[in-house]
Amino acid sequence: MTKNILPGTFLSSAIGLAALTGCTSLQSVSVTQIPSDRSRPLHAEVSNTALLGIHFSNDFIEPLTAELMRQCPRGRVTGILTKQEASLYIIVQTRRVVATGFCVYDPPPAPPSDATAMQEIH
Amino acid sequence: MQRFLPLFLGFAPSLVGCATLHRAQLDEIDGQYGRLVPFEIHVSEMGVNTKAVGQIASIAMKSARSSQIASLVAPFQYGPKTGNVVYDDQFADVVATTILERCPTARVTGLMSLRESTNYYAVSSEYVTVRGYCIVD
Repeated sequence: MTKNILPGTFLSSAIGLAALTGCTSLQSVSVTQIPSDRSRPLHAEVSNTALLGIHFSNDFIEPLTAELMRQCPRGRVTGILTKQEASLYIIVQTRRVVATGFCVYDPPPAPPSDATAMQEIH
Repeated sequence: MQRFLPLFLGFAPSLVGCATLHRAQLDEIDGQYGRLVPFEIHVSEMGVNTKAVGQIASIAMKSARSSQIASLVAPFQYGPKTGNVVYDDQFADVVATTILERCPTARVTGLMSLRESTNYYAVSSEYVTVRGYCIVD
């Protein structure tokens, strides 16, 4: 009796575990110039979940830029790694866009020195 | 009329449209100089799913010929592509000039480029969306 139940239980547990881990795919990756000052890392993420993977709009991505700007007020966000991925959990699909980067505050441009200014005149 | 009812019911869910995001790319955001004014550019082109068109034609005409023709056409559209095939692959070329029209100062930052589709079974809308900020003052 035990002999008959065990393989079935094992098989269904294996299938259940496999389904819980989800099937993940990476759809696009992009990166911008990486700064030398990487002391202020940033992270922003937006996601959207739908039954059977039927999504009615892509508006979920809109807050991503605003979120990065919020974390770096009046600064420059650079070295942005944008990653778009999707995970499928049997009948539910989650789309996720993750952006990581660095907040940089550039020093104000130095006024031209007298020697430079003289060179420009001549 | 009753003849078309199953056909309509079968394809009714697809009329809502299924949105797909193919690619998302985010560029540098510079909030240090001037005021940022957001803008959005949206260009689109109609895409066609040949196989689905063949299936619909076959159901409507009660003949397998349309599906067979679609199967013959399909190998000519083979290859890597994003979304459905379109009639004009240059529909997104206007994006750069449109950005300059929206932002005459040409100081642009925080560009987010998206490649999207909305599928309506046999046809689709193939989009390129660019959102960004124009630096003014």
